[in-house]
Amino acid sequence: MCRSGSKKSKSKSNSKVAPQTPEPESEPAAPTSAPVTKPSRPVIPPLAMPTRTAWVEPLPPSRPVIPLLVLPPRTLPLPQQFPASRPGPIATCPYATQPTSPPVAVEEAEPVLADVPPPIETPPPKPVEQARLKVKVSIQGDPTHVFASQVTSSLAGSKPTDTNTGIADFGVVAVGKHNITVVVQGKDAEKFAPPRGAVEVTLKDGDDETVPVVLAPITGDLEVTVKGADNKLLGKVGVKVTGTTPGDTPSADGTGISEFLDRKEGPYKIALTLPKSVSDDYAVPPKIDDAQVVVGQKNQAVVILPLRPAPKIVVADPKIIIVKQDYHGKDKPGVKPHRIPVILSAAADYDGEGKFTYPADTVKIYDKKDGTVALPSPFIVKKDELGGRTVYMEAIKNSSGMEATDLKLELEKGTISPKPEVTEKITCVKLKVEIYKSRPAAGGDPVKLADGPKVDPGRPILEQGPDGDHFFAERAMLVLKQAEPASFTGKLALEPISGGVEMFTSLQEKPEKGQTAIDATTLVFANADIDAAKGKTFWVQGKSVSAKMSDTGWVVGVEGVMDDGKTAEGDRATMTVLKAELVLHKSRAVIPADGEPAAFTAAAKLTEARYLHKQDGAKQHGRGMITIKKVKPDGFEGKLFLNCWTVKYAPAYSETKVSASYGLKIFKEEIASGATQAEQAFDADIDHPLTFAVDGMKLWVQGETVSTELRDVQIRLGVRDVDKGCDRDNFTVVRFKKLKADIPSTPANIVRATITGGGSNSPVARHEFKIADAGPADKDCNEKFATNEPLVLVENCIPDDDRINLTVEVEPAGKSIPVRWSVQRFSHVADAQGDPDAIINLTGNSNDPGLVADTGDPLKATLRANAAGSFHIRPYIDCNGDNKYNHNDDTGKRIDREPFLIMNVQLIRVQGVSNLTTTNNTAGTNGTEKTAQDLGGAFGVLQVPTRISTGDFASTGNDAVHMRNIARVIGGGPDGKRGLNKLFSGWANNIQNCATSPTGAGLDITHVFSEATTPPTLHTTVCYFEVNTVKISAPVLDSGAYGPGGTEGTGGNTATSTTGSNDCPCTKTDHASGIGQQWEVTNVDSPGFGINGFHPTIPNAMLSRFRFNINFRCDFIFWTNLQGASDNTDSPACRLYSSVSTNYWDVRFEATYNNRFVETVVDGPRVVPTLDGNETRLAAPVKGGGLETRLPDSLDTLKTHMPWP
Amino acid sequence: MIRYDPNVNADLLRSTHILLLTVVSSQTGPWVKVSNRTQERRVDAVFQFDRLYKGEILEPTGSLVSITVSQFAPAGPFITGVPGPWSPVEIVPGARLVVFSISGIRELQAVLSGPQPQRVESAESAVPDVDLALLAGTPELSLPRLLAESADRKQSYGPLFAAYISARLPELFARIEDFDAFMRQIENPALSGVARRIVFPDLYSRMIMLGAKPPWIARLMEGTFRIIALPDTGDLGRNLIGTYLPRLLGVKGGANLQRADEIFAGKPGLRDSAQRPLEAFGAVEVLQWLRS
Repeated sequence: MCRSGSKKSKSKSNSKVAPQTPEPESEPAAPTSAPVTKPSRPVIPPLAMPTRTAWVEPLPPSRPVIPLLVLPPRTLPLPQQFPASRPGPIATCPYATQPTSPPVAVEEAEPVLADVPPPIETPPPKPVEQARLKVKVSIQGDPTHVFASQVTSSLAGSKPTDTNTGIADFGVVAVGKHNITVVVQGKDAEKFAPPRGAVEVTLKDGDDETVPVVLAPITGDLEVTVKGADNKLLGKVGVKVTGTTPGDTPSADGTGISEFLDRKEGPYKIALTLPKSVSDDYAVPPKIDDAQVVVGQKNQAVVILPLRPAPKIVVADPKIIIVKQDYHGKDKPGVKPHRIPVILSAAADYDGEGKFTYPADTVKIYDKKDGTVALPSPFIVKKDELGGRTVYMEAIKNSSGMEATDLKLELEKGTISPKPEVTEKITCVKLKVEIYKSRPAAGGDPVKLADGPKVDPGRPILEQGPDGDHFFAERAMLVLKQAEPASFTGKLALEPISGGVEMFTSLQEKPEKGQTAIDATTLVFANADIDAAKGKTFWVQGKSVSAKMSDTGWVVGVEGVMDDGKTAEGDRATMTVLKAELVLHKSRAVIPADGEPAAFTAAAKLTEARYLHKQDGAKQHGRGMITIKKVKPDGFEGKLFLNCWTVKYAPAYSETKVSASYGLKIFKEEIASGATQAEQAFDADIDHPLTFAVDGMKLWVQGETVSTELRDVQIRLGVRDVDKGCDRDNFTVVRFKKLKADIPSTPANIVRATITGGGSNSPVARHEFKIADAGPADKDCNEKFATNEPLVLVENCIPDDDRINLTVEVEPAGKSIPVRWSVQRFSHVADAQGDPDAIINLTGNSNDPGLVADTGDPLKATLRANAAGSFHIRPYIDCNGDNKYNHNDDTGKRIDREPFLIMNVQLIRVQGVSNLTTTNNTAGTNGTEKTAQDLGGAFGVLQVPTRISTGDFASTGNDAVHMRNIARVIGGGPDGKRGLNKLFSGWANNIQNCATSPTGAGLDITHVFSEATTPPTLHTTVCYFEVNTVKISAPVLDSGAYGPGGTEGTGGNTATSTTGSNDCPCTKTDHASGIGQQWEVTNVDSPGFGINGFHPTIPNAMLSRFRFNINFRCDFIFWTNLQGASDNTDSPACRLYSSVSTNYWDVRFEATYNNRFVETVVDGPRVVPTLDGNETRLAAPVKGGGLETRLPDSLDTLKTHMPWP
Repeated sequence: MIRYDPNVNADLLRSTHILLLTVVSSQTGPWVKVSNRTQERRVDAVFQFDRLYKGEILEPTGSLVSITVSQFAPAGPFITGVPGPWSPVEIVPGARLVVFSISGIRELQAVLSGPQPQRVESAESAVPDVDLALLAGTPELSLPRLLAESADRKQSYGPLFAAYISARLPELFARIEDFDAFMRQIENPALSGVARRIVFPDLYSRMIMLGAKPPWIARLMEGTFRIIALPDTGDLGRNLIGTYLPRLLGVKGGANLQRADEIFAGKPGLRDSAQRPLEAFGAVEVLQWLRS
């Protein structure tokens, strides 16, 4: 404790504080920092605590007694620093830590010792009686204190007090009433005062009285304790009190007390001067209550220094804010900006406010983390918020460097001097990730997506295929840019938004087998390691289809900077993993009502591919269906496109984008037609709105250019700016040509020379019927028989051992294209010109005319032609695996036909109806005709037989045989007459071997001559057929009569008729049923021969026997000729005959003659018919039936009158 | 004018031109063997165009035309039919010929040359038939009426007219009365044998082809039985009864089988009278049918 009354102490105190705050001598010192002009609280006087109330006498009535402060019972707790036993009043101030009760009002009192009256002079008393008087002068509470004083007794005079005992010994004095007064001398006179008025003592005689006179102190001590609001006792604080007895002394270290002793009573103002060590943390209270000095008291005042409020900014580590991007805080993608809490406070009570300043161009602050209204700058933290005001700070711009963004908080406008402003340094980090569009088709670098689209909707990407054979989806280039500020020392972390995407290195743009995606957890890169200009490049691959749009992608954050438990997102490349499917369909196998054509599997559509036939000018070929499926996931809106590529798989894979002269065309229509049909151009946008059809967009692909290799043309489905072609469909454009029917001809029944000196009659040239021989013309794929003229043949004209050979060529050649063969009836269901049911359901008919594909060579087949009606023979490529050519639906509507070429075949049913062949026995000469000849000599005129005829060939009904047959002929079409104009018929006549023939073969036209010898010598002449000097056996063709030798039996009607014309009369009537016709074909024959009455070389040998026996066979035959010529005009199939009826007719005549030519008929004349036993049979191949249709003709080889043997 | 009908075999109808010519002069070449079976000769002749029966010819009648034609004949003793329309006729001065030609040209030379002539007959045999056909006139008389009109010439019906009749047979199957009238004419014993041999078989054949109804069949049978009873019909009866009739009735062949009770409905006499000829010609199947 320091006593202010000590000069030493005083000087010491002054030496410490004077330089800063000179203390005026007479004026109270002003507070060092904030002088208080108005008391804010009533002054509480210091307590007066009399030690002995008894001596306190009432003041004389003229001088009202001013009572000392009377304190109520102590109800106020003392400050803890003070022991409870410590007496004395406690001055309080507004900054007392525990002011709990209002102060007690007290009356203002006049100072008791303000004016000490002078001592009253009184005359000495008369000694009357004696007594002993001593006056003991002491001070209250300190009887040991000895004063130098002068005591006066009104009866005994004055006496000084002993300096050792403080007693003034008057000795013996008069008795009586002594008025005793005391005058304090020396310095004590400034501290103490005698009681007011004299002290009356009445001495009686003999008294020995020591009268105590207690001096009352006239000063008090003042102890000012300086402590902080934190109860810290503060030393070195200059404390200056001003009042009656001013003082100035610093507070003591350790106690914080400044002691001012012997202060006169009264109020004292306290002013503090804080040394820096204190003022750093504490402030002088804005008002310090006056201290009240009560005399005789040790007055205490406590000045509590409020802690000096310190502004405080609390920002949690790492003190990084990720700079807000434009997309942050928007509904899409629904990412909140990174905001960090900043807690602003004052570290002590402060009645002012805080001013928070920050670079408004870099950061913004908000009331709440998700607040939408930025708070103003500077931001004022109100007084009552200074306990801790949290604002949320977001960055709108990167800091210029690490910790280069300063946040400041200062306190102001308070009554207390706050601590200086504080600054917090943060770093605003701007992150950037770039995503790029698909690399331009023309090449060059990918184009970066703008920031807006980058985030919404983001960069779609295609789902990668399941295996290395289907790694078609492009990867998207993603670049992680170096964060700003470039000096940022943290690490950037790339994270996938979902597992739907995966990342590959910068060298793995092109997906290949064996590549492994980067482990996403390793995508952390020191910012310093990222190239400032180029960033860090990756390639993103779609791994699995997004569940919804924009649900994946990549975000970049700073390692360790978290927000709501995850890495704060600094930028993003929104992505959607799309699934864009281009379905390749097989051809329709069923009618549309049963749904869409089946689809190829993902593998098969590449490995098998869809075959298309090069479209022709008449648009007859089928298109292949593709379906652009609705892009997944729902919500995709964009542009698709198709492009065309030429691909090659062997010996090495290669691909080339086609930009012109596409091998394919695409249409919306399934059926190509001559009408204008808009193409879906390659590389053109295809809108894919939200409303894109759920079942996709169906398109139809048409072949335009013949492939050079299998599956060498490819359509890719691209997504604009996303992928130039992910899903892919392969096609092979084929072209059929040179469909050829190698048609057999009826072979010679007997192979031999055609005529003497001629060549062989065999082999018989076959016919070829060719379709698309020079490449397919429009007509060659036309189903219409009127346009694509059919090969017309007779049903069942083909022997099983020599079928029609069908061959075809297909381009590209030599590629083992799986050509199949189809036969299809041209039915009325498909076309009005098709066969009606009446034809289809003909007895024994079928829809398969015996088409058999070659088991070894798919380009070959055979055809029996063993059904009737109209047929399409097609080589085709089975594009749906149902092993049949699919033509129309059940309603006759054309469908997506498989590649084909058509050979129309019209097979005509020919069936016998009535065999009306008859013979006449009496026609012609009805035996031999005889001519009167003058033979001279003994013979004279005789009737010599000269000829025999069996008819007249004169259309008079007078012929040996009248071949007449009615056949039903049914071609095709609604009336069954299609093809009948190419059908021809006639009677083919053969001379058969006759059993009576002397030669054993051929006919029997035999003369026997009798030479008049004895016995008569017989000479026989015969007829036989001879070629090249060799007799030939029958059957021999015996046909019409026109033309030079070697003509007969060369096809068509040259094998028919026995009259002067090769054509046989034919009457045609439409059948009553309306289907087909009935043909009546007739022919007559009347063989005859000139009879020799005499031997040609032996004049005297007369005819003695004549035999005219000829066996004939006549067949009602049919053939066709595509040129419509009945003759042998070389056209299919004029050499291919069918027989519908086989009749035999034998001529018999034999007569003998005597030497006068008198005739005795042995047999005949008669013509014996043997009609076909099955006259209603169907036409059958002539081959193998014994009928000769080939030359040589009988008469061309006939040798007559040949001596025999 | 005789109408033109290319779809029949009758030369009178299918020819576009029918002309009467007279051989003014001719020069006949030698026979030249053109093959083992045929020899040919050429005849250079000048014809006078006397009359046009059918068609149009630019030149007036009386015009002369010079033509070389070929004639064919068997080259050996074997007698057979020979080609060539000119082959059957003698082309000698004064001969009158009727040429049946099919030609789209109206020049006389063209109509008579090359392949256009289909048949050449002597005027003697052809003209009567042509005249009969002309008798039909325009519009054409019905066949029964034509035959009735020419009844006095029945005996001279030649093969041309017989073929003409046959070609017109289909018009008889609409009204039975017409057919009956027709039958009355051709069953007349006075009908020439040629016509009978041609027309009756053709009747059967046409009726088979056209699916004649029972009344027509009955009427034909009735006429058949009448003519086969005539003398000198040769094998006609055998052929009609043995071959044609069974097929008409459907007893043989592929024609629809007729029911005897329908055929003879209302004609019990016919049924009875059919017995004898059927038995006579051994038409066993028909007899069985008759009795069925």
